[in-house]
Amino acid sequence: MRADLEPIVRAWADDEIFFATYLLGRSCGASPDLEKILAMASIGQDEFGHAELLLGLLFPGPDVERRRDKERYFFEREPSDFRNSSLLKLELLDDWAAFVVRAFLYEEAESVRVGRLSEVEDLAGIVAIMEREEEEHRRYWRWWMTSLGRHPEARQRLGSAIELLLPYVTDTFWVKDAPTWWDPATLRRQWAESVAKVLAPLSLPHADSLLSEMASEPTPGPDVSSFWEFVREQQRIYRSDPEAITWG
Amino acid sequence: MQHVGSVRAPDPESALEAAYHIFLRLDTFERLWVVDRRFIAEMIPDAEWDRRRIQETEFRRPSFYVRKLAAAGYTPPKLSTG
Amino acid sequence: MMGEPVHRLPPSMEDVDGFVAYIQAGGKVEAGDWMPEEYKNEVIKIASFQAILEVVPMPLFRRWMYMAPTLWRRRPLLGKIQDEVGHCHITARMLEDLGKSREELFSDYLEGRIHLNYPFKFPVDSWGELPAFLLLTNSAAVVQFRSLAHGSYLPYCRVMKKIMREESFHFYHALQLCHELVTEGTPRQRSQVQEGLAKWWHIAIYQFGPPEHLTKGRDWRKWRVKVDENETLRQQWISMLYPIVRSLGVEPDPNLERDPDTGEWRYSPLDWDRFFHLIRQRTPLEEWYVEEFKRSYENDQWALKALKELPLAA
Repeated sequence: MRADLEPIVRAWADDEIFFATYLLGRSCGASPDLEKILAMASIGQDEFGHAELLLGLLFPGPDVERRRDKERYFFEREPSDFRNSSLLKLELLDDWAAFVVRAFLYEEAESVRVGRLSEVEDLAGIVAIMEREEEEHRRYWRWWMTSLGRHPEARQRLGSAIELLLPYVTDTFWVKDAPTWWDPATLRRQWAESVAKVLAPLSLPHADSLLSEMASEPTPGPDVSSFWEFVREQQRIYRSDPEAITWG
Repeated sequence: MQHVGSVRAPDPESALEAAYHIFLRLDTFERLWVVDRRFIAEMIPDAEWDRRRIQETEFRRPSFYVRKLAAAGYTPPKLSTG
Repeated sequence: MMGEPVHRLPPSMEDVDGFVAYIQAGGKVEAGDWMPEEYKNEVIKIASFQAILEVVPMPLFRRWMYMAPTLWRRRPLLGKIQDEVGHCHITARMLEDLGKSREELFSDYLEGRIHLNYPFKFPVDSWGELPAFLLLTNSAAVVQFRSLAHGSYLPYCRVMKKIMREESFHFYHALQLCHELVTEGTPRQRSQVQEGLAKWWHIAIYQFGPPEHLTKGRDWRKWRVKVDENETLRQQWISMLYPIVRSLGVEPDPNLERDPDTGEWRYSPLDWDRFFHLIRQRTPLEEWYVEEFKRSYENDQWALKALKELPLAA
């Protein structure tokens, strides 16, 4: 893989791993809407598969060694070294409206990212696989937005969720050490346009502010201390004895 | 379950009666259901794509773990599920 | 369903005595068939207990999914989570066809009318203990489901067969992880697995419930939704798991031996007083389950209400 793609792929892989983790974590919550839980679990597994494809680009090589490098990369990094966007630093287990809005925004961003990277030869194969699945995911979350957006109480909750997530959309598409051809400003405008198509007919509270923020230049997102704790918790067993990891 | 055809009828009971007589001549069946076409939603999946997706989830198949155990010199029991 | 022999309840037997005779003769009941209320309640009771068990311990799996020490091992846990919720779903759909809503099912659990099976009242304290817990409780579930798949209520038999395909993956994954930690792990990991197997053997053995002489009330033999005695299933489980547990370096019960004449396993006495005492109580782990369950259940109510109130699309 071209060296200049590495920062983009690193950020992307981190986004996908955490989105998958949140989806499957949310799937462990009881709900009469079992259909929703199963759909989320299915989407989560797709996302995890995408993360693995991306990590495979970062750590090519013979199977066992590659696996070990991938694992060390995830479990030995400091929380501050993870490159996922701020939107994907929030677990949001207890707020379904926020979970839906975040998933919708992220999947729309994915569509823009995939569209841009489908033009890059080194990524074409992986992107083709992801593009197909992301289209299905996007359809699912758009359905949630447009369905809930038609209900008087639900739309208020979506509006509150948008307000909650506003500070966290500021760094989407920003990539540390990105190559010069990576243009987050343009990607963010495309993202805002795509989201606007869904939000405009719904007239949700705070939607205008959201679209305005999304379309502007990226800026660093807020510190999310709960994310650092979340990473540490996931790494705890590994870090307690890295030499103890069995590789099967 | 197999779609065998459609009938025009004013209500479910009439539809069942009509379907029974019309389709029984084609084949026997254990159950007969009729559904108002207005309530049918359709999706046409890509079988080839779905086959590939299923193949890539080998870690969800018992054989994946049985092979690993065999490679480690352990013969696992055959789990009778029937 | 197509191609299977159909045992249909003759209309002449649509009374309780006729129904019982039909069932006792090996007759099967299909969805939509006439059935006595008591029979329906028997199906609902058994299936409800199983459906709740599929979904209530999910927070435990979430915790271990987050803390799995490799992404490699996180992946099968993601699959397991989806499978278990899927098992609850297909059972809940069957219950809905019998007139019991999933809201009623979940309320039954929250309000203490359904209790968790005994093993799920105890925590899992380490990564090494997790596969031991999974191996022993999952294999017990396979033995139970395998038996239920031969019951009289065909929709539930089909549910059991579907579930067992995935339980097979869970079983082999747990076994392979146990084996890997015992053979490739550090001494500490090896002892976590082996101590886990010793601990969970003495818990999972209760999963089948008390022997006949200690149960009262329900006459399950009449309806044949359940077809095997608890002790029969316990014996099958011991036959299946004892060689596996021994091969992993654990002698789970010094009193375990097989009668050479009858083939029956004899084992250390089980404390059924403690079982009955605990089964109706909520352990600290269960209090956590209930809290998690209540929270996510209540968090979702507004969305469900909204979707129900939306007009049907034209």
